[in-house]
Amino acid sequence: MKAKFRNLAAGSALAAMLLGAGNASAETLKVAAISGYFSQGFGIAIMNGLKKAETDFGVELKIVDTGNRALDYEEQFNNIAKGGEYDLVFVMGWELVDALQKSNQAYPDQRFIFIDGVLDSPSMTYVDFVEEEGSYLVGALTGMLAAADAEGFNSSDEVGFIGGRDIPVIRNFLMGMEQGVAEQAEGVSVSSVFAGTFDDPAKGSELAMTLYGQGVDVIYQAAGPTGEGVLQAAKAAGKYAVGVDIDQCGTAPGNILASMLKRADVAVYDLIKGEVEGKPVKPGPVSYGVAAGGIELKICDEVADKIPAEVKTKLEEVRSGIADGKIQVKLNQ
Amino acid sequence: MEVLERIFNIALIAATLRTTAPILLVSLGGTFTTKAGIFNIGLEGQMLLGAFFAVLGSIWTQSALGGVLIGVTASVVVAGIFSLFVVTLRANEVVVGLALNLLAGGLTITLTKAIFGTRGSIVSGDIVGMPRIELPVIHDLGPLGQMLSGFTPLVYLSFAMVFVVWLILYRTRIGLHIRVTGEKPAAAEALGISTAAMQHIASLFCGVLAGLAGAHLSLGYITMFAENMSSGRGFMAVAVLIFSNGDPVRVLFGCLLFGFADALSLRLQTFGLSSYLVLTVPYLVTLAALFALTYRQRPKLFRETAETLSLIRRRQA
Repeated sequence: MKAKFRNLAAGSALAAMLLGAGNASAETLKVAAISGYFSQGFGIAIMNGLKKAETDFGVELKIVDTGNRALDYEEQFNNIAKGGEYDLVFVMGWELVDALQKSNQAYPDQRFIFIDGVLDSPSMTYVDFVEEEGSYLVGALTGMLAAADAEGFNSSDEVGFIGGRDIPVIRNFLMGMEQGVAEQAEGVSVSSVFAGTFDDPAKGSELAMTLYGQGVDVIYQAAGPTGEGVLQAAKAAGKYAVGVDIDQCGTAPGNILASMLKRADVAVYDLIKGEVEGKPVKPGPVSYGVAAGGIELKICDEVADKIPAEVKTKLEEVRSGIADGKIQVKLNQ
Repeated sequence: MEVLERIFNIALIAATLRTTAPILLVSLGGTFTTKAGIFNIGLEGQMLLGAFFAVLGSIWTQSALGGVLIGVTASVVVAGIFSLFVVTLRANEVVVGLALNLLAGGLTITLTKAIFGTRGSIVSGDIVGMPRIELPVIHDLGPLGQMLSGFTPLVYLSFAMVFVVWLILYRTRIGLHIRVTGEKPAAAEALGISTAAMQHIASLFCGVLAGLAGAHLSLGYITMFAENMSSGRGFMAVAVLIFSNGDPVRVLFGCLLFGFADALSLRLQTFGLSSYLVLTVPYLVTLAALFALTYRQRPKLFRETAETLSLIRRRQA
């Protein structure tokens, strides 16, 4: 009985999909988004992308804030998926992964799009930001400033990196930065440390103080809340730090050199646009790097005039080099 | 040689004082409960709540002092709940302590979400942090003087508190009564000392210092709140307390050693050693040293720990 029911549900979902694909312009696209982070950083970017798609394409939006109730995450996914009502369901937040994968098994025809990471399930779509490309740009910028002995960057020929834990995804940031420094700034090296935790900003601050004390003038952090401590240390020490994921220039204005942005708004908008224009979202990872506009290095306004013009010109060359594939950012080399 | 200079420079002293201060404050709080015969595993949670409410208070009152007071108040309330359960209602202190730690972790996440609508951390320009204080005379004593100056107020207070706590415990009537309560409850009752009252008082003193430690973390060390930002410092304090038997001077020694090893390990990482290995160093060093220091007293310590864990029934009149 139950199996029959599921077949029925699957059948109707399939029918809905075929219908949707058949006359995409006539039917309004229905999009849901589930996360616990809609009012901060990355979540705001996702909301912006969704809102823009709503205005431009008239899609129907359903926002589900998971709140803090870990027990019913799965139920929340199932509630969205069981009607087969929504064409696309965007999901953000690592704490939701288990529930998401269970719901994905129960409702294999519901198209889930997980933002910022790749999971095991082959039937889901993944927005995968190419963080190593952005980190390459960070390496190029900080390295060139150190090599040129620009004002405020002349203490040593080292630039710093602070990671949360020594895990593969954080290594991607470091490898990108190291390659950027090695290829774009001769004689400069990266001094890297890991805090061993993502939620100890005091430790982040102490690590940053240590690096600054050793003559490092600028630190790139990929360490979540621990990294917030790094940004505060930059202010206390009168040195520079580089923000990550979202625009962190405002945290310590004047001491944040740049922010490596993952443009979730660009990715979300782009996927919905494709769906509307007859290029449906398919399972598997979709990479958003520099070329697609998903990764961007934003130089903070407060410090923009301290960066020499030739460094800016060179950085733009590097950026377009990555975008058109002349510069290949490799991992595990 | 150059390598050694990069590790052992004068900045290491400042880093040691910074990393020591929060653990020292919370450990000193724990000396009161340890001396009063309560095994207080709830330090971590009290510290975390202190940190959270200090940030909240700082935003509400727009002053760092207001933040500290509200942070300490929150921590004292939790300490009161702890002693209410443990002393008055005779619940198991480990269970209550753990429960309060879990409550603190969940409550701060929920309140962050409810009040600020965010998860993970509270970073805002509205949080008023504590100012750095340049000590007038010491600051002019060359580079070493400059390293000993320019901290936020609670760093100085944490080291001053070692003496204050020692004074309270060993030179005041209430300190004597607290110690008697912990060492010989039967004798205390015979002398007409209310052991229950002493344990309540010790727990509240502990709450004050744990709250200060939390407020230092979120308004002094840095100016923000992050989920679980106490990051095991309260548990480290419990370890220091077990081995030091709550003696303020030994507590200072243990915490300084931990702070030094911690600051040192951060430096070792820049030479390419694996972060996983290096990050264990401070814990290993501290445990090894405290163990060696108290080797001779072990039988007594084990007995007392077993007693406080209620593995052996505590004899009470």
